[in-house]
Amino acid sequence: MGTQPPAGTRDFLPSEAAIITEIGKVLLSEFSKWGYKRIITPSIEYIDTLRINSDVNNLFKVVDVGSGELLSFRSDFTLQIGRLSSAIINSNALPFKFSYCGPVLRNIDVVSGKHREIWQAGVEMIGPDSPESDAELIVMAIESLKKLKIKDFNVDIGNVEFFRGIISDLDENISKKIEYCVTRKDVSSLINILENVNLSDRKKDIIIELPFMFGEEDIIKKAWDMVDNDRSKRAIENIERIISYIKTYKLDEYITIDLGEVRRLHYYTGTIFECYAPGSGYELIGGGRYNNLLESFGQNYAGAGFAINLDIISEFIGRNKITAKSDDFLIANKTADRLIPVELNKFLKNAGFKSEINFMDYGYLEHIEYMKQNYINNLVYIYNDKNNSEKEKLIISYQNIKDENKINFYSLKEFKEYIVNIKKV
Amino acid sequence: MKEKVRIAIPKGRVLEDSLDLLRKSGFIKHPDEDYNSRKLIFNYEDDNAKLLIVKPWDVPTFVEYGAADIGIAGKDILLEKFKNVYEPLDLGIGRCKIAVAVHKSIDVNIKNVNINKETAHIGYAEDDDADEFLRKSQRDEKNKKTEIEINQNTAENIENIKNALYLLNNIRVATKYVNITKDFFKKKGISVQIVKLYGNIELAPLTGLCDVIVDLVSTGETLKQNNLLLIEEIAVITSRLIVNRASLKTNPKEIHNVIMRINQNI
Repeated sequence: MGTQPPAGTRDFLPSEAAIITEIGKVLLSEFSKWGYKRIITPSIEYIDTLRINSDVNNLFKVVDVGSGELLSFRSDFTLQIGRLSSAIINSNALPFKFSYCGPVLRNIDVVSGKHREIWQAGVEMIGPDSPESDAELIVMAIESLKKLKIKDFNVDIGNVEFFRGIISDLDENISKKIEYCVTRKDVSSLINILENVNLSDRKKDIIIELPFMFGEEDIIKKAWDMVDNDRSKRAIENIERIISYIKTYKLDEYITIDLGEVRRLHYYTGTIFECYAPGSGYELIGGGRYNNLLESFGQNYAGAGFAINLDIISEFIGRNKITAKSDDFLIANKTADRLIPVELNKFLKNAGFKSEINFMDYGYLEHIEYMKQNYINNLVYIYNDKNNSEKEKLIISYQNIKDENKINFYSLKEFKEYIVNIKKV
Repeated sequence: MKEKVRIAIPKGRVLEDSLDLLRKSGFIKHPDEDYNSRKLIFNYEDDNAKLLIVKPWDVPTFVEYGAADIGIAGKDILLEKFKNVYEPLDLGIGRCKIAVAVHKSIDVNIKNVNINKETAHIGYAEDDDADEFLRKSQRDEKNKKTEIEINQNTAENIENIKNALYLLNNIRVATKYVNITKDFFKKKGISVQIVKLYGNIELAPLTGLCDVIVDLVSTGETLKQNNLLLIEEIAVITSRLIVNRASLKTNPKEIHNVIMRINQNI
């Protein structure tokens, strides 16, 4: 039998699991400070729910034995939250502010080097529909990354309505092609497509300019000069209000703008944003406004949110964050006395330390090796004093393995007093 | 950008043109031979860029992951393997096309198509042996003609071959562009059986491995030498400038300048 997990998935060993857990904890705690409460959704979901935003080919599908319906492992939390919000919307006061943390599965090409199981944390806000509510999500995203001690990053803000306003009067066939080229900032293909389209030169120039509508705040001025349709104008106004809100938090240094960003147009309806850090090829955070999502479930309410990719964050932060903690103990018993290690274990836990017995028949050096691998610093080694064999005297030897010094105690009481004193210091 | 921009450029036929372009745009200063050693990373102190020399098929991967900020990649590779990168410039270098070609001996199949058409036309006189004989001799004559016409290799005949070929069911196509081939024939509603090869695709029809190939064609000389006929172009291919998404987002001004500088020198 093989020892590797299925392709595209991975086992998290304790030190890796600790990072993911810690990041999740930091994020959920930050979200809760803004009023977002954690919800837990099932790991399987109806295909119809997930297909709103996921390619059916990329779902881990399974047939429900009972009903014959097609289910899938969740590929996205937002859709599930859209579903559950629609279920409770008539009996609960808006807004809903939900947070989540857990794995999603995407059945993608495994040789691409991407994970198929991705850990995500994020928030969804159901009800509000204003630039200010979008801005607060962006502020939260910035604060979340700061809480994770990531300093150098930026938030790239766009609004899909700017693009929609420009192409709204075009044939759908053509606008789909334009959308694809604009997404990839593929100007040369864009020019080719427009050659055979009956449009004014001015309009063609605007469309060709779209992929380069990225940069800092000066892009907004450029955008005002560029468009004359109301939809695009509202989008610019929207971004202006978002930026002025973020300025009140003095976080505008993080902001960049890309009006040519038109990702997942069938899903997002207004503001979109992504966080990037230099040196990480992929976005750390992605989010936006999806006012049509609840419509799929028969409700007409606005929604917006963002998701953080924990795998990318943990790779980015690196492994060196987990260091040995000085308050971990290992108790090794080389005597026939069964009670004294239990007494010690109880005492150390009550005194607020982490303490463990490993039950292996190890010698001193093997214990030290085990402790190093598991980031345990303090060893309590109980053995019989060979030089004093007539009395069979017990020695409780305490050592912080970072230094060689051992302190020997000849009774439990002495040891306890010593530990209590350490604690006081 | 605090560090130099990292540019991935492809080994092989567009390497020289790529270096020329980067030199003209002021990113590198040294002559070609300085970038043509066993080393894979070139970071000369007086250059304004760090060059990574990689296999053409790997350029989009390096750029998508952010191992390089920008890269030069063939449109064929970008079409074949989707990568989430920006491709803002057509550099106009490495120009060629991706095309469908067949061996001249494909005429066997055309005979079949013609026969089918003929029998359909006069199908109701089928039980008459004399008629059958007459038809057969007419058919043979026609077949001979077809062969002659194919050898003449006119545009009209290529069109005929193409039409006949596309009427066949489940043609076997050898290519290294599996996805491009699949999409192309799918759009035409033709079912094909694709054989993935890694090089010297022209050999496949000569050895009877398949009827048809989809491959890059630049001058057409290789096709001619191997008795192959180009029957349809799928796309014109040039090299593109591709950009990592995060690099553009985290350094919008610098990357914009880089793109513009290269654009001025195309």
